[in-house]
Amino acid sequence: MGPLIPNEIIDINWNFLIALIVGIGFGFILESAGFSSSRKLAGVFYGYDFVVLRVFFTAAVTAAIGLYYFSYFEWIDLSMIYINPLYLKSNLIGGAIMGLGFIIGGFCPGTGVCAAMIGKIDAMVFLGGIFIGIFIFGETYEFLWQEIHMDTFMGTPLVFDSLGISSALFILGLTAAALIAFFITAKIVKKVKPVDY
Amino acid sequence: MKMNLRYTLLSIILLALAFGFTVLPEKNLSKDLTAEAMLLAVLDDSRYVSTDQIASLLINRDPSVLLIDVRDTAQYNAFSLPGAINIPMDSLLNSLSDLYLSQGIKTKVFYSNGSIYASQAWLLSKRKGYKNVFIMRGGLNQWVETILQPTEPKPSEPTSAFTAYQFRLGASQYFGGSAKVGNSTNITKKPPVIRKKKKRVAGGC
Repeated sequence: MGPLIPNEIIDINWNFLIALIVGIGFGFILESAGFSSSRKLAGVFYGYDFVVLRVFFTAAVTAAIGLYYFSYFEWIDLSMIYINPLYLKSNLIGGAIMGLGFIIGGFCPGTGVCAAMIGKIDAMVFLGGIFIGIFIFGETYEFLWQEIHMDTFMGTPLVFDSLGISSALFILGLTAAALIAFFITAKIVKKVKPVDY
Repeated sequence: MKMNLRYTLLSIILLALAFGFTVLPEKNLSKDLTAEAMLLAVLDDSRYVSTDQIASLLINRDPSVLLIDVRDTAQYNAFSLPGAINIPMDSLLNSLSDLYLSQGIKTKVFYSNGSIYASQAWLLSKRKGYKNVFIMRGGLNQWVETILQPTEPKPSEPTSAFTAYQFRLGASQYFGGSAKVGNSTNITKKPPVIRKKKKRVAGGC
């Protein structure tokens, strides 16, 4: 049955409207989870607040379990789901830059927009920085970055295929890892002196 | 304390769901068409379009139809329908053909000299999951008989036959009919246009 739009169950013209609704929902949940506070976000790096880790790890595990049950009941065709292609080198570099930006700026792009919307000036400056960065990258892409970007293209490998285990086993392991991480971080938070923010 | 209990319960549910997936029996999720589905598709007559319909579409320059010649290149070069592209049977499944066949914008119509090769191509496309694929009934032989050299219906035939004949007479002139099939100097072939695949939007945090 699914995915609904590629299978033309929902017309493709609804794409952006649905994206808008999902986006509003995403922003609302980010804000309700307190993700528009850069102190909370940076807490994961300094070890006094792990809500970010919990929320995103829970989301990943829930989505994985959900998708595979959906696939099992033939409600969705996993082969039609878009997977970001892996360019190993640029992914590593990009990940490092993103992490640095996250820890320096105190926001990731999504939460930055959230915080700017509730009127945080630092987030607006952060967003401005993003757009300046995008502009510079876009203008210099062809002669500076294209080569690095296109280097080491590896298709769309899946973790459990690379490890040689079944997807079910991997999901179980990931869930266990998530729960263990939640447990350990809860212990750490208890030990660390509470931070006022 | 209450909070802790809730977390523990949720954790157990999550773990149980993940575990359940490992003990579920294997299920074959291959998208192969079953023999029954194939039979239904073959029995359904709607995969055919008539030569009259194709002629009318060509005369009206309908941009929504992509004619696909599945004969070999030599035959295609000797004669083909206006605007048709050539995808010989042996290259039907390669990646370039996939660009043409998997696009959802144009309706695809296969034709060959008769119906057999076009039908084979149609079956393969069906199996590959391409949508909006049709066959020109009777192929080019039928095209010559009905469009290029139409025969006048007998007086006893129904009016619809005469209406069709009138249309075919006009179409015959349009397509340079009554001429030999091999003579295709006045037919302009469009160079194949390779459509870029639409880039999907990638999302992130």
